[in-house]
Amino acid sequence: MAAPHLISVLLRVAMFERPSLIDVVNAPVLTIACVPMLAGASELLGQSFVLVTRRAPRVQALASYAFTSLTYLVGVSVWTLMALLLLHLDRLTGVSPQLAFAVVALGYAPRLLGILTIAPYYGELLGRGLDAWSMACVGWGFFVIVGASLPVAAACAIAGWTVNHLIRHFGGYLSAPILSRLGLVVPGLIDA
Amino acid sequence: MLEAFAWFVALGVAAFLIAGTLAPLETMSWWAGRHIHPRRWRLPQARSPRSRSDQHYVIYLGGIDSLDGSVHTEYERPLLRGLEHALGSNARLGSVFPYAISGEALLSGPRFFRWLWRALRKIRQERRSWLTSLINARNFFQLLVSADRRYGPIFNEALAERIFAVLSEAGWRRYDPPSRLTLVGYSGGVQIAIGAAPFLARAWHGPIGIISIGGTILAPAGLDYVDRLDHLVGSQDLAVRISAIVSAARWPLALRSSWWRAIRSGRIHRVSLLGVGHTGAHGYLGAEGSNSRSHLEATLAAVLAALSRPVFPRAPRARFGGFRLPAINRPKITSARRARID
Repeated sequence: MAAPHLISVLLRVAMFERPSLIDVVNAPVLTIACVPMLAGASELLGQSFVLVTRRAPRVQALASYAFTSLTYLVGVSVWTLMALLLLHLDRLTGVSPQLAFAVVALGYAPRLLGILTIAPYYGELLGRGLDAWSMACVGWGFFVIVGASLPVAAACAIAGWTVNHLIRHFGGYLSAPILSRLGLVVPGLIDA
Repeated sequence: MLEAFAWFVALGVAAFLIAGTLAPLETMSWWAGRHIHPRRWRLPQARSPRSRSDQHYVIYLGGIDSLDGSVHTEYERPLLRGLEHALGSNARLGSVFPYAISGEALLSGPRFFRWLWRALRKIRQERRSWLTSLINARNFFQLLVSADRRYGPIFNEALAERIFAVLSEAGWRRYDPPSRLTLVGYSGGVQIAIGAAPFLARAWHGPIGIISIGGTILAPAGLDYVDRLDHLVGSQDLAVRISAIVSAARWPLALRSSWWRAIRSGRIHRVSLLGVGHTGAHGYLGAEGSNSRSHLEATLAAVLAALSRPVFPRAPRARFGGFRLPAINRPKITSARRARID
């Protein structure tokens, strides 16, 4: 899938356009995995003041972008596992992990705008808004693609996000010494 | 028609988002450049005290239509002349351009867009034009930078340094006996004055007061370091009301915020000005008025009354044990700052 086409499809997915989601959800996993990775890089661009205040050299900054992207990928995987568990409890056992991963990863489409959180004063609020938008996209994705009921889709969105957030938060405490030694900066983890 | 309106709105939103994205870059590049050319806080020092302990320093921080710290707008000039005349030798008056972290004025500093600000100033002197709101827009985003939890500490520290430079020009020396400092802010200048207060309090041992002329206070955290805030509010001033709505720390639920702490300890004094708006002829510094007194005269009288009241050190700065930066940018900045202040 060409990059401009992918971006336009992602924008439509973020705007809750059903045909676009159905069209893109079966794309190769590697293509879909690019969405959270780009979202991670975009968020670190938005929070680039952490690189500036730490006066990170160029190599360290690039390594931070790469590591943040990977962190987002791990976040999507955790969210997927959580959603699969909830779907299983609701007796929706036929959902493949690949499909659930695609739904969650595509839900990260609004976070491609994470760079806008660089804005002063309202930037942080915008970040919270993007979080909520992303959660809504994931819930809507499970409703449309998997056929989950509205409460279960909402639970997948909220529970997955919460677990992902908690892992990032407590992971921050655990990984802080290693990250500090490597000179890596990851938004979210650094708050801890 | 509807489509044209939609395009207009979309362009406006895009311009707002782009301006917001670019606004903190000056602050970040200033901080990055500071690393290359490390500077120490230039606190003027002298072996023996040079000023009296009852000396009063007054620093003016202009509104968001300011272009320069020394070239004031047509509305600000009469206020400053009036202040200078009324204070005489009792106080030393200075002013700072608060909307640039480098302290470089828009008109004279080494800036890429200096030509634009000069052109806009010329337009503003000749006629009213919507183009001049570009100045307000530019300064508004710098005001947001000052109020931001992430960039604010850097921006406000630099502004405090600028204020100390102006105080030094006015004759203040670090080991002078404690004297009184009053920051007179107009509109956005008040927010920046409040932001700079914690950094000023590190080296200023006397009481610190702020006089707010229609202050748009968005982040009141610095009020913990202010001994008295005289808040002049016009009854027709929408900007002050909007800022009170937007700022979560000023909502009645945020009882533990610095704003409500200052109210509870009696450090905020609200002065209402009847029929006064925010800017222009019917604003705080405008020529319109009633009862044979212009709004400017009413504002000047209120400012002078506030300046004449004694200010006692009542801010809880000692109790809070010093200003704490947000966790996100605490470690490196504090060590650097400590080194510079020492």
